[in-house]
Amino acid sequence: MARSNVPTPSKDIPMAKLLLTRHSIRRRLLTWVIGVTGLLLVAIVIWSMFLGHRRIVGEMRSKAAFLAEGGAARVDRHLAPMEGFLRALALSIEFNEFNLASAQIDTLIRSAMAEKPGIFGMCLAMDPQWPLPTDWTDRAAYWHREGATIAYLDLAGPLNAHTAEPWFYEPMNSGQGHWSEPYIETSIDQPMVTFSVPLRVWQTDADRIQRNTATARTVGVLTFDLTIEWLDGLLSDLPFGPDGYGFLMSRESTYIAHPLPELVVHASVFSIAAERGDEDLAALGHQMVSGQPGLRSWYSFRTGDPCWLAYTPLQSANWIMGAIVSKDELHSALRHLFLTQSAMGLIGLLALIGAVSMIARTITVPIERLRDAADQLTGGQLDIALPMPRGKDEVAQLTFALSGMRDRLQEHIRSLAETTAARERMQSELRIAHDIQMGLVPKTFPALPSRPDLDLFAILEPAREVGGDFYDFFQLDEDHMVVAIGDVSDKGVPAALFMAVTRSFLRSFFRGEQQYNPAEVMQRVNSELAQGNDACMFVTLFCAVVRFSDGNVTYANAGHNPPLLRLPDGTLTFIHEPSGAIAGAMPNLTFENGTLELPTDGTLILYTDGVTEAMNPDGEWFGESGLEASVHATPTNACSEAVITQLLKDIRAFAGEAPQSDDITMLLLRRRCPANDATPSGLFIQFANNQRELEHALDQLEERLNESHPQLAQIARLVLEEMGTNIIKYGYDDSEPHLVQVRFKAGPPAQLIIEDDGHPFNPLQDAPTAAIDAELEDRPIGGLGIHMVKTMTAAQSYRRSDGRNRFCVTFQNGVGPLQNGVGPL
Amino acid sequence: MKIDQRMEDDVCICSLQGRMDGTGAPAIEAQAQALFAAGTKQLVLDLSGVEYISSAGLRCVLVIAKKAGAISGKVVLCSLSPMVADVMKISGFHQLLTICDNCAEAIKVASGQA
Repeated sequence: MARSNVPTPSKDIPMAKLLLTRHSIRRRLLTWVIGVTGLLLVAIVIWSMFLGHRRIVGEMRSKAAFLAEGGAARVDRHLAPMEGFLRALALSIEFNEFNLASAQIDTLIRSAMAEKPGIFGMCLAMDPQWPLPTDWTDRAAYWHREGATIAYLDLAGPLNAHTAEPWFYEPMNSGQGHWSEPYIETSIDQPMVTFSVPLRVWQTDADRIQRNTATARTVGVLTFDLTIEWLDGLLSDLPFGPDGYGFLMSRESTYIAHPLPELVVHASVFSIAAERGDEDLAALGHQMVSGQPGLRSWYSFRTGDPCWLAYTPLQSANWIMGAIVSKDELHSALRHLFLTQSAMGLIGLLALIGAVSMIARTITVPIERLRDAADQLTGGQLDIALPMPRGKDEVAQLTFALSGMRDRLQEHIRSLAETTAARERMQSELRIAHDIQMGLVPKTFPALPSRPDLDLFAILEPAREVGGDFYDFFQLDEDHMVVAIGDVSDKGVPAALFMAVTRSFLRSFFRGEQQYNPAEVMQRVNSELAQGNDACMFVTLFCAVVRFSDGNVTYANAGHNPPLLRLPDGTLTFIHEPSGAIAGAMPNLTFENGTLELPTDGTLILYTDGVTEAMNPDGEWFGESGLEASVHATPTNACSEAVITQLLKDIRAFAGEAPQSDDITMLLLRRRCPANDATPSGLFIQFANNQRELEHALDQLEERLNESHPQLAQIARLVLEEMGTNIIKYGYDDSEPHLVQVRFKAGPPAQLIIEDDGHPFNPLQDAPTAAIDAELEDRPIGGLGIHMVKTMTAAQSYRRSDGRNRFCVTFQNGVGPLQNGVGPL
Repeated sequence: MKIDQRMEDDVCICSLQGRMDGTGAPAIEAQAQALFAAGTKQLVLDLSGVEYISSAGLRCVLVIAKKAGAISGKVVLCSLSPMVADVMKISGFHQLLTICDNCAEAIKVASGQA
């Protein structure tokens, strides 16, 4: 059996792969189904082959045994009547105590031979010791056929030669019938066997009837000779199969009938075994002649192939019938069984593949459609139609789920768009509010260039949210100026608007009739603010009129943080009194004026609660004590800007990681004697990071420098525009307001310093190099500004410290490059 | 930024007044864009009223010149103030652009008569 013919799953996979590589579920389904059922199929085929083999072997063994028995019975059926015939003839000869005339014997024998044409010859041989009846002349009378006639001769001769023959002495000695070994009858050259029965004389008739052999005497034998070539025909009729055959052998294992004619008579199992030196064959021969039936594996003498050999002794002659059934028959039967089962299994497997493939397709096709739809959903096409599911299976449920998801997604996106739009609106409003807030406070210092004895500096650091802080200062006349600081309740757009209104009222009332009376101004502002203030907003406000000539300060306070006064000797006093109610909440309030003297080098420090209520991560406030300590640490002759810078630094250090919760606003007013001032004269401008603020700062810078350094005005403007634009465009990612500080130092040499808290950026290294010499088409748009700044100024430096970029340019001394640096075109 | 515009034959003369900086430049660029779209090919920018130019202004001039090049047109600058002339020189723009001393000369150059 060729094992390679057994189908295995691996044979089917390439085909499946070819069809299904792209479809994972189908491939897995098919692989598993084919794998498992294929293995099962192989197991079933192997198992049934095993069972079939056992069954067929059993059948064939039975068949061999049956054939042996059947053959034996068939031979018996022919031999037994012949035996009986001879015994009956012997009985009739014995009956008269051999008182028969030889002519009568002759007649009897001839008539018997006529009756049985299969008998070739018959012999009546007598014991030499037994006296022959009167007219008998021959002791071994033998009749045999010679052509159509029957010839007669005496086999005994003068020496009684017949007594040496087995066919004579065997029955004589045993008293039993005896079949001779086969031999060749030379006269006709045919194989033959001889059967002999004893002839007895009985003492009494009773003994004869009872066949009491004890008292009988054997006096001769009666034989017949039988040709045996008919046995071949008898056996060849039996169904031994294509390569099987039957054979007969004698007790001495000489072949009596065999499909190989040369073996008959001439050979026996033992002679062949001896000739071949085959001990197994000799052992087999012994088993076969032992008189027991048997069955075993052997090989055919005719073909040499393995076969089943069954043998059984005959009942009549003590011969052995053998049957050979070829094992080839077994193999062909098994092959047939295998082919049938494999074909059925393969057909089943193919049908299964078809069915599984179809089921997989019904699953995967809707899933693929769903996947395509989901892809489109991912791509943003939320209004596509989802494939309509059939039935209510899991795929249909998935479709419904996806459809639900799509709807929710649409809804979500719609609401997100609305929310985003609303937030953008809000943010733009907040930015506007911030712009209002920042645009309304003056940010150019020195505040009054015409008053060198005044050192005023202020700062407003907006918190994340737009707050309502503000400060203001303006000159009333040659000798008077107003300073104010305030903090509007609430935050955002309303606060910014309220603050703008407050500022306008302040300015207009101070410039009106009550110009030197802060309490009166405050009352009017309060009344105006309180009118129609449905939102119940309010503002804490401190304002003061400063007289330059003697340092007299008249002030009023509407619920604002008490200002801090520092005297030249370093004494610090909070100005608590007088203090009125908050402005704007209620009409008809009265306020009281207070006065104080601000000596030279004395400083008035105004601030909002963003300073004292600055919080550290532990929730503690910076407090008035913190403010006091911080101010105390600076020298009394330090300029206002330096003090504010130090204060800011201290507040930031105190707050640490805590976010700034409120605007930080401070205004320092100091009377100074220009002679002992620690800081050189200069200019300070700050602007928030947007284009409008930058524009304003540029105008301020140019305007101030036109007064003091006209030759630098345009170059400084150019530097600030280029650097400021860069900071606005690239310095920040967030949308929060950030302040950029600009200082102009008169020098010499004159310097412009720009500071911002944006991303680290060194324009001298990080900026792209401008392609000055490139052709028009190749000329990149950009990178020019820094090149121009570098070319038009004498020196540039950059430093990054405390999270701030500090860019400083030094101008050529006294003369701008516009006059002599470049020359004519 | 104030822009006065007049036509002389096929040449359009834009007299600019103000600062060519981040604020003024976009207006000039938009104006030039509109002129090119309307079919104008020769453009003279009279900068006599421009006392200040920053890199944003230069960028604007560069964009205008490139756009003119793309439609086979021509842009001529004239009457530069000292500051503007300096900036043009520092930035190397005087090599790229056609610059004339006065308006009449610029019109000739632009119309191809010079």
